[in-house]
Amino acid sequence: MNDVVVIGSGASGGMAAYNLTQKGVKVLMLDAGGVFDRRNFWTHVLPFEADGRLRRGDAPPQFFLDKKEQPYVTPEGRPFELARVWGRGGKTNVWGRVSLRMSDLDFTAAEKDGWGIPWPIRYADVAPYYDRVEELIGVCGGTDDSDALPGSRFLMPAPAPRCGEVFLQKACDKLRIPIVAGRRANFTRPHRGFPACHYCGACGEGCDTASFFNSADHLIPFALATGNLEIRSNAVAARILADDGGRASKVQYFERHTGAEREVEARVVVLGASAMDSTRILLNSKSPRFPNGLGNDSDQLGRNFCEQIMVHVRGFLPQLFGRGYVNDDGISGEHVYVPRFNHRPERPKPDYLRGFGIQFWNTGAATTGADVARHLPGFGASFKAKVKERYPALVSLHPFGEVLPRPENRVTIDEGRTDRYGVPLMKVDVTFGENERKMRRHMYDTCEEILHTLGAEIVPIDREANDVPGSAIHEHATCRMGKDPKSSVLNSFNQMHEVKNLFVVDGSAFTAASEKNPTLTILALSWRATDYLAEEMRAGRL
Amino acid sequence: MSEPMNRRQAIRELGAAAVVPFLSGFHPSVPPQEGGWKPLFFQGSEAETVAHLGERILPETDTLGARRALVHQYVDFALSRAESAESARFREGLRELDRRCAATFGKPFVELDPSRQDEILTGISESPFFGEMKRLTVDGYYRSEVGMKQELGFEGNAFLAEFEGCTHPEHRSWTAEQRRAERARPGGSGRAEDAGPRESGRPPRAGSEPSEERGEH
Repeated sequence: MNDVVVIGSGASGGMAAYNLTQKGVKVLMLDAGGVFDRRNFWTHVLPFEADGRLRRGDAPPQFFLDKKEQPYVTPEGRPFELARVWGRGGKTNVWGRVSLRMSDLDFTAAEKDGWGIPWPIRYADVAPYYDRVEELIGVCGGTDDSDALPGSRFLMPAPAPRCGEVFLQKACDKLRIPIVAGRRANFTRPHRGFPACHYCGACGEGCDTASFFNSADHLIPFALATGNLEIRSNAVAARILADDGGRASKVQYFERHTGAEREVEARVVVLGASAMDSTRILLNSKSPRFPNGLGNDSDQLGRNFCEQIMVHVRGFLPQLFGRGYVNDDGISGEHVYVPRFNHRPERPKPDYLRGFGIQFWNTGAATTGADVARHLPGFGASFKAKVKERYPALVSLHPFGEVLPRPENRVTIDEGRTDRYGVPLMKVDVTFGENERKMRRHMYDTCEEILHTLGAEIVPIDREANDVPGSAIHEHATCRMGKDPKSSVLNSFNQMHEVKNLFVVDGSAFTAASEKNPTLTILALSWRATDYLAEEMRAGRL
Repeated sequence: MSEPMNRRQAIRELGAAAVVPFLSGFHPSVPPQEGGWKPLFFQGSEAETVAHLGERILPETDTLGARRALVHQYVDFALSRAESAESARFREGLRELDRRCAATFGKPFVELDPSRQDEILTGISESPFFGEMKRLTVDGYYRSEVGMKQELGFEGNAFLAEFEGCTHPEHRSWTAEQRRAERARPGGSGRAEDAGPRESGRPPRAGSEPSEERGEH
């Protein structure tokens, strides 16, 4: 029997395997896909080279799972965009790398505003793990430290701001809006044997030098080196089987390409298949003891889905018109960040709960020239000149606002529709509500205020628009942690209240989303949970 | 960054000669065909009309225009792969354009002189057809080597040892000292910890002078 079966190889599963194997625990990892080979990444293929390469039969790795291979169901008129990466490293192959610490503003939000259940942990519980994670994964950032975004001693130097970002700093300073260095897990110095970022700006294609954190390069090889990790690739976990006593005993999976059904025994199961897939696996894991899904006596499994609402505001800075091309690629994402500020005492009290932060990716001369032209009116020589003049002058504002957890925003399974293995599909039913609409207004107002301050030419805005739910790729709370087993699925160590030998370590374990990108916190909580797991195991309680 | 700059200068010095293979060949997104380019979607005079249209949207200036950048080939290829309803709408748009030209000037679009072509295009500039034509032209042009490199001067996706960021003194007149003073002002956000990316926005580097001395004046 395996000590621990870890399902998933991304941030959460990769971290679980990394930590447990270092502690001498034998781990079997089930990964739904194969291995993405860095040598085949299209990090350095320009747009005009791509089509020719495709015709020669060359192809970039297909990171994102084809919806035809694994469909999911949404109700008519309520679209949801689910991005899944099956394969070694999961979504960390192409993640946004934004690494923001959550704060007690986030962990105590429910107590203060009464919405949802309280987190069972505080910043002090996670802080030591944030330290360790940042040191391990190589986050760059500034010296800032605030109640919304706690500081850190463990950051690599922040990259210099681009011209447009210098102007954003000026505007925010004038408006008394905090603006700090962005924090991303890009190595601005060589790190653990990997070279520093070479500032090509193509992180979204996967990094051919592994110069940003990716579970496949920076966690799993270290786990394998211990000799305690076995990985089974193309093993699509379907259900966790419980014994008569209600303990998790086996994991049922299907071989991705042959469809063959397999089972592995486990003393402990760690689920890190990403929020939506972990939830689907648990909901499909029915037994006489758990007719509504494993560990779901509370009926909270699949409920309370939350994430961030995103809008996009773009403008051109006349100060930068016609300055000619400057290489603005940098670490691809923004080098400055506006942390949440709506809670500050000098600010008017918002007419909504929680808050938003602002990111600024695609500021400066883009790697796709067409983006600028799309936003400009006219045609002819003057249009061509306008495009060229504005090409380096683009600033892009992307506020991310917390979506409240609501029980009716939920993942269920559709018994009537199954995948190629006969496993019921997940059904996702999510809509944004009044709180999100009010926050969205403040998000647009703030962006316009910043751009007006700079005298920017603002690309026309549809103030009713926001990205489709799911677009943030930050799914949370469908298997939430909490103090009370009646209103939560997991305890404060990501351990199931009702199934003690089952831990859920991905984003589904969050009690609420916050406005922040979650991966840093997922890594910290997975590390913390598996420290606890290993100790419980050592003490003979698991 | 010196290497790409040299490459860029070299291309400029070579001028149009550097892109000769393009002019007689194929748009980079279009599969090469035996015996030269033949349209996949366009019929009759449509390709010529689209080449003229593209040239009015992005004309030749000190750099090549859409026609010599072979954007009409890109438009043809894109439409050949589009939903049939979409490509049919485009075809109808081309017919409507020529009907309009005939009614106004008694000639099809390609036979009008450029100023009359522009007059017609101004009249239809809000139409879905023109919007689609402009979108395809812009995509085909600025995603090509001519558009990205010659016109926009793109030299990114490079290997850089350091990222310089903004080095323009006129942009960086907002010094760390000013930022601190602004924030210390009554009513300012006032928190030293918010002072931003390493104060000056420039990472300290071993062996270089303190960052605030650099490019800040």
